[in-house]
Amino acid sequence: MMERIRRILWSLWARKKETFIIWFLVFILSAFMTLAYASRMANDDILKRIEENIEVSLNFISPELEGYENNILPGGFDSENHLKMINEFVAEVKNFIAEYGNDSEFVEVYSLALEVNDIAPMGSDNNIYSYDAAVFTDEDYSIKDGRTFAEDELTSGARLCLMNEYFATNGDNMINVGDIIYLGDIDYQVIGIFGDSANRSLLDTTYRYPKYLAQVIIPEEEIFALALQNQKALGLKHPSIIIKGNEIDIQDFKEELSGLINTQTHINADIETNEGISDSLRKPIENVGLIFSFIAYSMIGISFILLFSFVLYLARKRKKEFGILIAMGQSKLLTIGEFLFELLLIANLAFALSIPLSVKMTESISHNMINTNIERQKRIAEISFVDKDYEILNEQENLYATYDLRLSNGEYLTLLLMNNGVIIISSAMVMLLIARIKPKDLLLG
Amino acid sequence: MNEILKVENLSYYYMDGGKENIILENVDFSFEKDLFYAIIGESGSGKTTFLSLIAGLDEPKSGRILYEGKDIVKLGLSRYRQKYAAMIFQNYNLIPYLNAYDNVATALSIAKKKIDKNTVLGFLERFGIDGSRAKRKVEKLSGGEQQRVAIARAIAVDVDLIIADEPTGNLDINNSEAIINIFKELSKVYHKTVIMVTHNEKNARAADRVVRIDRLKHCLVYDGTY
Repeated sequence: MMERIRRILWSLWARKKETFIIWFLVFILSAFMTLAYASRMANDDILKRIEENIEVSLNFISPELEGYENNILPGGFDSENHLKMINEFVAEVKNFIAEYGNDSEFVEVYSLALEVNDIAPMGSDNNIYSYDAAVFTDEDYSIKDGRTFAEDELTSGARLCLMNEYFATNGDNMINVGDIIYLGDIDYQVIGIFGDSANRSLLDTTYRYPKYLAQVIIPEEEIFALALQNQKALGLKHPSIIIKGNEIDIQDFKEELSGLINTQTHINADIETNEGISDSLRKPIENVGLIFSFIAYSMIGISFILLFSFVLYLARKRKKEFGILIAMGQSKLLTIGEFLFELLLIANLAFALSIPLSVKMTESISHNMINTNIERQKRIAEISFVDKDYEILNEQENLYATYDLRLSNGEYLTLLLMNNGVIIISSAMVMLLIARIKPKDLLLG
Repeated sequence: MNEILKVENLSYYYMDGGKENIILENVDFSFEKDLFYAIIGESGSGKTTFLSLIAGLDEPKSGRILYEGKDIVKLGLSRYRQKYAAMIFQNYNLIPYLNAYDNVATALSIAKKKIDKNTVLGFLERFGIDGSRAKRKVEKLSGGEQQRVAIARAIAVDVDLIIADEPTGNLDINNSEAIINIFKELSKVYHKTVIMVTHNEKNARAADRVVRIDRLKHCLVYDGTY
């Protein structure tokens, strides 16, 4: 056995140039195979995360989008039942307190007020507490018509708003600069229409459904009320707001909420299904995947043909050597096995470098092309409601983050097996060639 | 009975344009142990074909080749070449990227024999390849030296039958003589049966038995000794 291994190593060393060429071709082949595989894995990962995100976001998109029709809309809620829902919620809080006692440190309520904050139409009144003008200059959301808020308007109490072009023209809305819209019973004047991101590159997975661009600027209590409405209407399963403190005046709470509910007026908008949004996000990512796949599979094809041809050429050159071994009594099967062992030895030396490098390359290319870093964010905001302080725990994935690709050990193993499989396939002709060797024709004069 | 190899009713032909081209027809012959045989014949008479058949490099179209009474086809040609017969070629057929030592060791490993460094070096030494030459790549050795390595390789696996195809065809007179003397020594001292195909009449004379292949009758004729 040792002698055999020694001979194989000598054989590789004696043909340094050829060994290196094989190594290089295998390196290219496996690097692109890994690239194709890893980018697919990464895309799937991104898609999965985006879908999760959509699911969460959709739940909170409804207050300002839903049609306020009499029927309960899929993914939305029925405005006629608001009070009923609030009552149910209050009852639930009561039950919670009954179960855990008034002394419990936290009472959990199910909503993501800050999610509402992220998606409601952008407006301006004396309750502004978050506004970032850079959104309209640095982040591609250009003003299509009208203007943004002036510095003094942010604190003046003027009730103004900017409208997403999508909202403005969606369904029956037909909203233009100068129009008045109502949120709650408060009127806002539209001073600008900003473009959505539909015209951004398809390679850019930060492309988001236009509805996600809006940012709420409405009173905290109102946010909270909207959040509460959504919580029951949409049947959220995961609690995410923590109300700090152990004393809640249920009656005050109820009255306050009831008052808010009655002031709601409506903006017309369509309800989008998860599928529709998911598809619009999926497309650019799949386009990236297609480009990756095209490059990777082309390179795999080219390098496979080159490797296949070179290995065959080399085997033909070594035909006599195989003949000598067979003439000495070595079986053809063992001769094929030795050749395969040689090839896999070189190949695995190539994989050791190509696979990690390629994963890194995929990560880097994807990062530059997609410019997306998905990471989980945890934010805690404090709000006051009914003279009490509350903490809102908002946990969400940020789509504007960096591409993060990690392969598990199992996936590395899959890649390794896949690569080895391709090498074995590429030497199929050599196996046939060795099987058909007749030492008599090669060695006798 | 002292026979090591026996051919019975051996025939061989190849197809040429749909027509059978007969090389050997119903050949019967026995080779005895510990003798040095020379097979002679005109070019194209079938010497090499006969050699490839008795060396287990090809299968007869009909008839049998018996090694110590066992049909070599049934024995398995690979196994026969591995365990019972060793071959020496005109153009040496050593593995070029290995040194002399490793060429011999390779043969031992294929024959599943124990590889002992001193024994291998001893074999090479016995055939005129000293320690420093044993470490040289075989392509750096002279023709005569390469043929000696090939002989050492054949002897090292310790088989009783050595089959040589024009072993002196590429060598000068001195080296040829030395190789023929080695073959004589192999049969007399090491009790091997050596079957050598040669064109060279002088070399044939050195053999114990000379067998001629008749081109027209496609058979072997025992010529006796010179």
